Amino acid sequence: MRKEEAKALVVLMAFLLGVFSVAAVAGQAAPPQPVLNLGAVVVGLEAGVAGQASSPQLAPEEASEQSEEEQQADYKILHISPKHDWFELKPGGEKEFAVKVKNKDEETVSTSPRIEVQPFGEYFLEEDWITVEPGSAEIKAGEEQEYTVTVKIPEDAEIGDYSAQVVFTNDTMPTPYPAPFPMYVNSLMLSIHVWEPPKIVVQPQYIHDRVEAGQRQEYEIQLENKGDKAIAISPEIGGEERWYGPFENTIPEDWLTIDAPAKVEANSKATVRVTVNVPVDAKGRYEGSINLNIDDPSIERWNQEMHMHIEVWKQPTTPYREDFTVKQGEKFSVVVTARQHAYDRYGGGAEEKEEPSFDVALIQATLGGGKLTPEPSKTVKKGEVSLGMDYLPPWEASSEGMYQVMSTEYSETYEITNATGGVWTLEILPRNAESFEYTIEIGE
Amino acid sequence: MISAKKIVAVIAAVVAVAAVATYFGLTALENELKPAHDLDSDFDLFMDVEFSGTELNEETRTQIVSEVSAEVIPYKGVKYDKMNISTMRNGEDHDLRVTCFSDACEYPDVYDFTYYGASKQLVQNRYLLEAIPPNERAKAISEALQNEEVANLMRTNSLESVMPTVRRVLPETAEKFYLPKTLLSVTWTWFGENPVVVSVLVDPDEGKAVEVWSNLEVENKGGEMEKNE
Repeated sequence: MRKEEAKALVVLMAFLLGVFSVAAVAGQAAPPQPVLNLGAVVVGLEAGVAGQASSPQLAPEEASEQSEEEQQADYKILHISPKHDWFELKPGGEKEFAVKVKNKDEETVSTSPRIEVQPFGEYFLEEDWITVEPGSAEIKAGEEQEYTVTVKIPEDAEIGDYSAQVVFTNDTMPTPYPAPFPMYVNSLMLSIHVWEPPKIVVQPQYIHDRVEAGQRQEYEIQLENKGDKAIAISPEIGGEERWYGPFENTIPEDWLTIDAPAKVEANSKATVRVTVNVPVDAKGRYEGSINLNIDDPSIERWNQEMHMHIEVWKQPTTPYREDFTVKQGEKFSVVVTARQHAYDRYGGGAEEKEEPSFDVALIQATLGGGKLTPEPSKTVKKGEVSLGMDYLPPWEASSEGMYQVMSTEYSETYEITNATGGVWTLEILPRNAESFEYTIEIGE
Repeated sequence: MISAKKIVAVIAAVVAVAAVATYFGLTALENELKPAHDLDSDFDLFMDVEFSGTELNEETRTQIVSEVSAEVIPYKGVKYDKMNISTMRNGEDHDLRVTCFSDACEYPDVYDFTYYGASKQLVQNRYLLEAIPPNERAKAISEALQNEEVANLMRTNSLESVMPTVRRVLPETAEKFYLPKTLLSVTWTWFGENPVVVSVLVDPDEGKAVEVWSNLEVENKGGEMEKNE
C-alpha cells in the first residue's frame, strides 16, 4: 500500500468512526418515548420538562405501525360524574360528596385516585386537604364505582381561590403543543373558594347624587366591625378595580375631602365622612371611587371600594328658546312637562326634592320686543303608582295591593287664542328639573 | 306614733298626685279622639291623630280610633307620634288607610283596614311597615349582606347601587317561613327590562338571614342552590 492510500484510508475510517460516535451519543441523549400520536419533539419536551412519562407508552415501532385513530383511542376513558365541581367553604369547613366513575371500556381499569394540585391559581391547596375513598379500585367493564371525596379546609387557610384535580388514572390528554404539566383525562376538576363573612360591613357602597354647581355636599359611610379585634382603615381617593375605571369624567381629587378614623374598634361602628365641594364652573356627570383600605383579609379588595356618581347641575339663567309659526287668528297651546322618578332616592342622605316649575314666555315680533308671560291655563300632576304585585317576596305578600309611587309628572299648559300671525318664540326657563318636554299645538 | 308633719306630708303628696292625674284625665276627655291605650304597646299617650277623607260623626271616629289603636303596634322601641286616618265610605262600611309616623323613623307604617259599620268590626287588609329606626335598618341590611348567597346575588346582578327597602314582617307571616316572631325583610329591587329582586328575611334578634328569595330563582325553577357552611 502506498503512503497516500494509507492516509486516505485512515481519514475515511476516522470519518466513519466520527459519524457512528455522534449517532451513538445522540441515541443515548434522547431515548425516544412516543406518547400517543405526538411527534418526537413533544416526546422529548414532555420527558425532559415535565419529567413524567405519560402512559400508555408504546415502543417506537408499535407507535409507527398504528393508525392515528388507534393511537388516539389507546387510553382508558372513564365516565366521571361530576367532572367539575365548584363550591365555597369557610376555613375549618368540610364538605363530602360522591363521585361516580363508570368504566365504559371493554377491559377492567385500575384506578387509584390521587390529588394533583394545579400549578396555577391564586393559592395552592395541600394534598392532604382532600381525601378519596376507596384508595383504589378495579372497575370491571361496564361497571361503576362510587368514591367519596372529602374536602377539609384547615382553620388557618388563607381566604382565596384554590383548585385541584382528583386523578383516577394516569392517562393524560394528548396536546398538539408542549404542555407544561400533564392534563389528566380521567379526573375531576375541583375549584374551591375559601371565604369568610367580612368582619366589617360598609354601608352604603355607592353614592349617586345630583349636586348643584358651587354647592357642597357631605356623605356618611358607616363601617361596622363585627369582629372582636380593631380593624385599621385608611380611606383614600382611588381604586377602580371593581367599577371598571378609569372613568371618562373622574371626580377631581381636590373636590373631595375624607374625614375618617384610623381604625374601627371591635364590635363597634365608625363613620367615614366624604365631602364633595363642586366648583361653580363644573358641569356634567362625574365618577370616582374611594378605596377604604380596610385591613380585613376576609373582605375582597374590590368590596373595599365605594363608588361615587355625581351629577352636577346648574340652574339655567337663560331660557330655552324655540321658534314656531302661527297663522293670523289661530289658537295655539304650549304644554311643558317634567318628571321625577321615585328611584331618585340617592344614597348617602336623600332630601325631599322641590317640585319642578317653569317660567314660560312667548315673544312675537309685532309685540315690539315685549314678552307675553301667560299664566298656565292648566297644571297637571300625573303619577305612576305600582301595586307592588309583580315582584314581591313571599313574606311581603301582606303588602300586595299597597300603592307605591313610581314617578310623578308635572305639566303646565299655556293657551293663546286669536294669535297674531307670524313667527313666535317660546322661552322656557325650568326650575328644579333634570329635563323637560314641551309640546306646541297649533290650531283646533 | 305618727307625727303631724308626716301626716301633712302624705296628704300633700296624695293631693299632688290627684291634681296631676285630674289634669291629664281632663285633657284626655277634651280630646275624645285620642286612641285607647294598651299598656303593653309603645303608644304615646298624646299621639296626634288626624282624619281626612269622608266626614264621619264623632261616635264613629272615636270607635275607629279605638279599634285601630288596638291593631297598630310599632316596631320594638319605636313610638308612633302621629297617625293619619284616611277614610272612604263604602256603603255602610269604611275603607281606612292608616299611616303611622314616628319622629325616630324616616318612613311610616301604613295599614289598610275595612271598618264594618254594622258589626263595628275592623278587619286588616294589608300593611307596609317601614317605620324602623335607622340603626335597625342599617343593621338588618348588613346582616343580610353577611349571607354568602345574598353576597353572590348582589355581585352577579350588580345590585350594589340599589337602595334596599327594609320592612317589618309580622309574626303571623313570619311563622310560615321561620318562626312566629317579628322579622325584617331586606329587599333590593332593580326595575328595568328584566327586573331583579333579591329579598332576605332577617331575624333581628339573632342577627342573621334566615331565608333568601330572588325572582331569578323562581324563573329558573329546578336550578340547584348550594349552601355550605
